[in-house]
Amino acid sequence: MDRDRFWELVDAAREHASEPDEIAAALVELLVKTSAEEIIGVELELNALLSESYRWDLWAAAYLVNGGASADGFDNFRGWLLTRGRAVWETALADPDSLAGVVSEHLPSFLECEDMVCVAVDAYEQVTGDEEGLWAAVEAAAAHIADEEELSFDDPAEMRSRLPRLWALTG
Amino acid sequence: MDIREMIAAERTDLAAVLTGLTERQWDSPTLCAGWRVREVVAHTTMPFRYSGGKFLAELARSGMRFNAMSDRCARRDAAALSSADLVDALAVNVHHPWKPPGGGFAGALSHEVIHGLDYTVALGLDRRVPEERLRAVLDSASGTTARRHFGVDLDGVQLRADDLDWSLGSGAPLTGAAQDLLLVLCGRRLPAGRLAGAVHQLTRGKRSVAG
Repeated sequence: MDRDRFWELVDAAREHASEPDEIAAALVELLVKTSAEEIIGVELELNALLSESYRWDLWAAAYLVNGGASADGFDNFRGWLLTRGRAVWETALADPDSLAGVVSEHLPSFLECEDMVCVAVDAYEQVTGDEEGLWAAVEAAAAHIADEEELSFDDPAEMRSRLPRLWALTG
Repeated sequence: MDIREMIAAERTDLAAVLTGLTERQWDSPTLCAGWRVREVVAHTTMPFRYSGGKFLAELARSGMRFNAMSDRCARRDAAALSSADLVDALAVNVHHPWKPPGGGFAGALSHEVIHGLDYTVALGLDRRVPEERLRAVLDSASGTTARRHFGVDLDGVQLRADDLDWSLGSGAPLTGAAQDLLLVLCGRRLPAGRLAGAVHQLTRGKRSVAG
């Protein structure tokens, strides 16, 4: 699975449907015909796209378009954006304000599609009977990300222990 | 009372409620599908317990989806923390300045009030959210965006409180306590017997909402 293959699948789903929830359902139908391994590949590619798009400027665009956007509302807005296909997605990420040209035909609709961010989870559950294997793969893929610990800059012992040479110079 | 004072007062009141619960009540289901009282409190105290870096790492481990992260962390933390730890996490943070992104302090108040009702109503406790706080949250939840987000369709239904002067929409009346109607607005399924009227005309979103 790679980025091109992910968008090919989205395009194939878009050929079967036009409404966001229908596109998500069509994509799930396509995925259940593949394998659990392929579905995990789609999930990880989706995770990468959600990670790259976790940006304040795009969140601000969602806030304006939908008249507000909570954390899960922003996820679902990006689900809707995924259903618009690769060109719209990539243009929006390059310039969130470009969405003005896309959303004007939908307003005052509410642009969210939770089903689209859950396509791989739903397909995986249909194929294997539960979600456990998929979540284990998601967690393993993020294993290199450590919890970043917050340091107390005004705690001499902590600063000396973390940055001993700089502490010796400046402390 | 300004909004920060209302948030602190609600957290103080809820910490007192939680202090009085038995372990059996802590393990009882709530109106948040799949969560017991301890998962709900683990969820509402998460912003006080997690640094920004930890939040992002947990989000990555959940496929960058907030609802998945909320559920995963609530279940794990509820298993790891004692009831006393959870009460403490709330009690020592009554003045915490957390605001949900895009929600401001009004969003923080809604978060406390709605999730508090998720367990007080489910447990059948006779707690009434003070009117000033309840009205502030009802105002937020009545907006079009909030209603669409929670997937509640009120077409042809009027929510009409029987304990204070508040109504929303027009059509067949659905009556009950204002705080119960707030839960209806948030897509919750209430225990039987709390509402009267057009109960069966409501349609709700298809997925549960943790946030």
